[in-house]
Amino acid sequence: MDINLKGTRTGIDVAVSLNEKLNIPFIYTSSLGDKTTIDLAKATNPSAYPVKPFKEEQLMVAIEIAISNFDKKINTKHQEGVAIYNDAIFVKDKHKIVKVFLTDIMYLKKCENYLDIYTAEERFTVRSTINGFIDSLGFNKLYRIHKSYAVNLDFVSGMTQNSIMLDQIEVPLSKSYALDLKSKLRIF
Amino acid sequence: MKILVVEDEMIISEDIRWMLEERNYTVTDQAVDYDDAIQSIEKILQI
Repeated sequence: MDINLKGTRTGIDVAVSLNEKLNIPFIYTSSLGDKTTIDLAKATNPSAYPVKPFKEEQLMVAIEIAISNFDKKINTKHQEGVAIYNDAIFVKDKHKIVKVFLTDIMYLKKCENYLDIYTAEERFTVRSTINGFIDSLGFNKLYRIHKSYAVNLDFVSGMTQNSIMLDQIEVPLSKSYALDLKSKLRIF
Repeated sequence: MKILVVEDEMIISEDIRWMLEERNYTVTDQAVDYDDAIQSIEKILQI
């Protein structure tokens, strides 16, 4: 990402907005090497800052390293606050650690970088992605139905074109996941 | 791996896109200003 862009706002403004909402790695590529710019850029935590003109290999190495560091960060983070033990997980709940059986998980809801785990009676929050969490459990009853939701198929009590019922709870269903879900539940 | 190129000079942007695609990265878009960049990111992530 260049720092000087068209218009009044800069690449640093893009980075600030990115960092407020998301966790995405980025690399600055700029000919600006003055202290003020470097200080502003540093504050946004870029993965690298190859100064123009750079060689092709310099950019590629910066990208490879950024991706590798990001992968390591994600793989660490998706376990944060969760310990997996056989058919259960241990999650932090305020000042204690609570055991939650996988079969008791009704659904998952993503909230930015966090994941809310809902059982019939409680909610626990961990730092994770939906796919990262499901993959790490290897529990095939949890099924993604929306960009922000996954449900335990054993709790599904009904569905409409755009929602899933889990007894009294209704969660949104994306069209893109509906066909796969119907096939999984053998609904034709 | 999806990559968005944010660069106001189209020649450089194209050059970077070409380099990345040569190495099998997917360049999802090329943005030239702040609004373009934010819109592209939101589109890619379906926010």
